[in-house]
Amino acid sequence: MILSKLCGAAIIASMTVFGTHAFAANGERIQVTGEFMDTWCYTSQVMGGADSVLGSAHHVCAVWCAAGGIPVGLRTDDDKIYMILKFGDDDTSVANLGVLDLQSKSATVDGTLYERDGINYLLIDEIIDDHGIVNRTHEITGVIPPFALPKQ
Amino acid sequence: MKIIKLPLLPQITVLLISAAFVDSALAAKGWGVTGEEIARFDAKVVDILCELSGDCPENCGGGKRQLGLIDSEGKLILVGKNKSPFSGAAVELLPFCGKQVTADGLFTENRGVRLFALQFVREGSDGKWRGATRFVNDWAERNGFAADSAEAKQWFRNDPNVIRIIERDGLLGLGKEADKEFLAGMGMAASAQTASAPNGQALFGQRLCSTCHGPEGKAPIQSTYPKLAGQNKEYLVQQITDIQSGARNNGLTAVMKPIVQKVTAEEIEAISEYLSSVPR
Repeated sequence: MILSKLCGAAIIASMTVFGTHAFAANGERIQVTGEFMDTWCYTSQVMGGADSVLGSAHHVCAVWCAAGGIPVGLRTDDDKIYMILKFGDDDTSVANLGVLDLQSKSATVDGTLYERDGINYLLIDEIIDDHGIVNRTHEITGVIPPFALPKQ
Repeated sequence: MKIIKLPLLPQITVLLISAAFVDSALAAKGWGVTGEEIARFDAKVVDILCELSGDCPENCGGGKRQLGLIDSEGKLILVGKNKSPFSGAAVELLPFCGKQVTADGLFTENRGVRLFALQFVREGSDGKWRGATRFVNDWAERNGFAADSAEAKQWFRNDPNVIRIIERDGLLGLGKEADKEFLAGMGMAASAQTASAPNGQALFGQRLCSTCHGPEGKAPIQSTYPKLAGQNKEYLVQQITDIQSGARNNGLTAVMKPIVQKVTAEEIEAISEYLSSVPR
């Protein structure tokens, strides 16, 4: 009886502290390998298909978009995209400097996955392996957009 | 104002903007992007990380976290874009953290990922509309520039973090040597390309004209950008050439100038010829 009252009090206290977030789901621990990429250009295809908006062809634009606070994703080879919400201990997901440094690179990461309403969200705990830029798309499409190139 | 539910958007109440809609001047525009659906709906502004994990700092993290919208059916919507070039929506939504808003913009969906691009937002259902263009002012203030300065208009070329990364890793991210090799090769490719006759329709996409002016020049991504379909060829040639040379430098030409800089006179002719042939 006492235990049940204590539990009830704890639940009420928890709901007070966390408000409507008392029922936030637990995430799933995962390791995943993919490319850090520009989610807006990729999903909207505003600058063309996949070869135009991934890898080296799109590196400058990917950095622009990440610096501007567009969500950065980690895209796997099977075309699954994880929206990055946390990087190590840093809960910055708008223009996170560590993530900016990884744009266009492929890496294996360890983290916590939350899935909500069709979107995968990833809280990265650790970079297990940084493979660098492996997607040399500039050899196919040149630089996209071309105005990312310096004036000559 | 007529309210409908679209079959492809069962979770979102979409408001069709009728001729009688008093805010029609502020209604979201289509951008001609993949899977886009214009939508206006009521929602609550939330910190996504807080919503998922229960880690909830004050004021939605003060601008450092991605923000989302919870619609009337409890669905969490990731807001990935605002109305300014190359920038997201966190700074646009931050003033409304935890509040009910009406969001106006468009969804884009591709490969299972559905994002919302915010174009206008207001507090509640009767607050004052504001365009989702706060980012540039915010960037200018953080970086010590006037909001209307050339540096702020091209913030993405002047951001210190962008400059640091490009300086260190090069334009391709593969190092300075890779850049040199690529740029040298590009010069050769450009010379070779001039041998064949230009195709105006293809160039309209390749030169990224369609990125801002929309497919066939019919659906510009911003209401301040012109529709080009069916425009007189001579007029188009003159405008592009003037922007390229700097003879015309008013309005939004700062955005267009770097794009047209490397377009040849022959290509300008071909693009203009193509656009003049597209029905309005």
